[in-house]
Amino acid sequence: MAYKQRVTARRRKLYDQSVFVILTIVSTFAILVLGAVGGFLLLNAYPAFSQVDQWQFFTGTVWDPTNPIEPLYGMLPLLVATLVVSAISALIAIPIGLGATIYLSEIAHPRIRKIMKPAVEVLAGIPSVVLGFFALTVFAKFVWDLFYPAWRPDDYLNMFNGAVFLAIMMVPIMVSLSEDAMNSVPRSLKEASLALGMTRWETTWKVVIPAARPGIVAAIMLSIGRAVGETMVVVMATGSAPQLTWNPFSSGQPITSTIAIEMGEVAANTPHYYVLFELGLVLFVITFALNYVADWAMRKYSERYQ
Amino acid sequence: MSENIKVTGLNVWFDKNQALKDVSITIPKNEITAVIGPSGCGKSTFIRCINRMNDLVPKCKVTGRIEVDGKDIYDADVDVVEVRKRIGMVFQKPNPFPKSIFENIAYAPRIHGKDLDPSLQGTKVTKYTKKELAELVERSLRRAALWDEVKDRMEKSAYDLSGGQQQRLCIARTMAVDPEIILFDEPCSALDPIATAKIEDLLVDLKKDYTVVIVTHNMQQAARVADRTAFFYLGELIEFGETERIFEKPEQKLTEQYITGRMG
Amino acid sequence: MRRRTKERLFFMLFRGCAWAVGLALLIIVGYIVVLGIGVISWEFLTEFPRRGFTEGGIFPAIVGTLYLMALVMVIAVPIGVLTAVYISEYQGKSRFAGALRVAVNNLAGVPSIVYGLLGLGMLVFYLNWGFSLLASAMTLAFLVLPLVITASREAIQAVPSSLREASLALGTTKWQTIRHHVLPYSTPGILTGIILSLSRAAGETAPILLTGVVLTKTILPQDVWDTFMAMPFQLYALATRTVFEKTADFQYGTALVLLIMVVLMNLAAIVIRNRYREKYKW
Repeated sequence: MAYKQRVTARRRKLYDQSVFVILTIVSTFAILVLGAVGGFLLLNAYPAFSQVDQWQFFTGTVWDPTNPIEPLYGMLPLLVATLVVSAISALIAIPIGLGATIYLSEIAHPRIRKIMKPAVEVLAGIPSVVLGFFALTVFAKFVWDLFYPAWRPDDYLNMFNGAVFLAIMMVPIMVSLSEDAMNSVPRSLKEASLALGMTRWETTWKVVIPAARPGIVAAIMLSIGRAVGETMVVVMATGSAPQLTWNPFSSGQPITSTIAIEMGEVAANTPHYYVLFELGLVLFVITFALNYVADWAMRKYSERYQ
Repeated sequence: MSENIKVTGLNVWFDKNQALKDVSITIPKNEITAVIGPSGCGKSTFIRCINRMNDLVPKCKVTGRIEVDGKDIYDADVDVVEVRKRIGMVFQKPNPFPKSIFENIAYAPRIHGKDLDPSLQGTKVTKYTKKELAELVERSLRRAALWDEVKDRMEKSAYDLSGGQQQRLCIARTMAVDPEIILFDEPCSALDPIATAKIEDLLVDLKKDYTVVIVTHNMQQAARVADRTAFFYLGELIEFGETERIFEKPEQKLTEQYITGRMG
Repeated sequence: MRRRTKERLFFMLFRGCAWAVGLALLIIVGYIVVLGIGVISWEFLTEFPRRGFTEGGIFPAIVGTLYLMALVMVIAVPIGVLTAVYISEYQGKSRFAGALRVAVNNLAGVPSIVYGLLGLGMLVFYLNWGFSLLASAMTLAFLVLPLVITASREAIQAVPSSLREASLALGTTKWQTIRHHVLPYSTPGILTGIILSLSRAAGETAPILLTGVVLTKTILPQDVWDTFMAMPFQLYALATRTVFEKTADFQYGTALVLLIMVVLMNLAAIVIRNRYREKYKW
């Protein structure tokens, strides 16, 4: 019968199946990498659980790992610095990012959009080390002298300084993700609102943004995740002083900086080395959680519009 | 009439929705069979079962038998690829590949080689020579009444053609594989009346060589081209018979209501 | 009328936001271009640094960054593209596919310094690759893998399913359809993603910082097991570990060369994508 497999067909089928097997095997790589991230963080942080007082690690207010008499591994100064820097950058980047998104997707003339969108993408492409360099050499001095002699930041390199450049990194992420969300709001919805005599602003505010909210939430979460995990900007711009302070105008040393700075100087397989991996684990958990929230928001979103 | 496709007890589910209910129908060789019915009645699902395109839909389950020349195409030892080679399909929206006109036609023959004849079982695939391929392309295009319109621009993109030309290109592309049955899934729904008329002429001409099954939402089209007509409603085959009889003396009340326009 | 005024006010505010973004880009790029352009010369691009980065050039750092990008491409591109093909064409309803999706999403959110820790813990010490070009490249490949996968997946899913059906209905196999249609039509989109990923790899500092980059080296890396110099690390190290006045020229020069490289790659990606949008209008 014509529809039965022929020899060539069988060979072809075998070929197709081997392609499938190869693709499956290759695809496991991504899962393995994620497993390796978690696994090797745990493996290398594990000795710290017994060699370093965990109560002190999570609640200690002093980070002084190189103290020759009694090294102190209190994480709070680092965690607080991470929080302060991320919070300020979020406060700057979220409104500006949203504003720019609304402008680009709802208001701007197509010609302007054609220039601005690549500009945002190029901004996203600038390496963080270049932003950190600019913050260190130019912006720090600008802020330092801005209101002098009336006011000066407590430290030349401070957390505000780093937060501004983290914000610059976050804005393009905000824009591209929330624009996707706003663009996927059905046009008919917008037109219906405009046809009811609402102004464009009212339509944007009362129709488009609520409909795009899950996507915007995801955008916010992912860009905060980026700020929490970003290293080079904070290493270069926030000054490296692990002190416990909420004052954004003094130096601080977020978790990422601590790993980057101290990993280069620490001997392998010492308590300090293990603790740095534990810090990595903390970071991983935070970003994992943020990612989870973003994923959850997006899933809700796709359910609603199916 | 000699039977070509014999469907018995065909049921189709998409996840938990049953799209076809116990459909049994025998489609004769070298005739045009039209499948009509209101939208959502399962007519597209039905013809997509005949060349197993529904296999591609996740969560789609098919039970029952579809015998083509006496062989159930859902049997375990049947090769789907072989089924689709022998049973071609033309889709609702023209879907030429974003390649040249020539490449659109030459693509499948080049892959299949000359081993299209089932009697050559097991032999190695022999490639077409360049000249043979050009001849095949020309033959297919002539058969689809498109050759004269495109012969001077074979290397141009198929996207430069009009909608009607694209659809005829898709028909030519299907014929280049030399199927015995060609399924048409509302082939004219995206076309204007002139392009539609050309395709209808072509359809009538094609039945000399092929068994044709056409799904259409346009009753006049069915009346114009089809030898037999099947009326589907809510996943069930309501009535099947010679077109003239279906349109003039429908036996079922539902069919009559549909044909006289008293139904959605 | 108050509604219209309100609308105008808000729109002005949003326009201000957008222009602030543009302005930030302009100032940062402009500043580095103005101060760096005078430094760049043939010598700066082709010579080794001398006298503590006050004379000579950044040749080994450029070469190191190029080596890194080449290795990252060799590792991450095939794996990333094939994974994308698997996810978008073969996944179906399997558990494995779901796990894969979750893994890719989460990998994209892992901070770069954490990738650095992975490289250090797994590649440098556990697998005993040592501080090396290969360890750094592999770490960066891990980092860009989710980017390559996501970009390729989007490009592949943008190919209309009607074309897949057309090909399958002609009696071709799934892989033939992917090989002859899906991949060719999505190539420009995949290419865009690859270029952006490589530009990301070129600019990343934290992962290589922990896995093998060095500030000075008198020869180019001899093989993949050797340490190497790279532009982003050189910029970081010079800016934070040397007296600014002495090495300022090298800092601005390095920043500018890196910036030019990355921006050019980004622009190339944008151009390719726009062309492709015009070519395949579906």
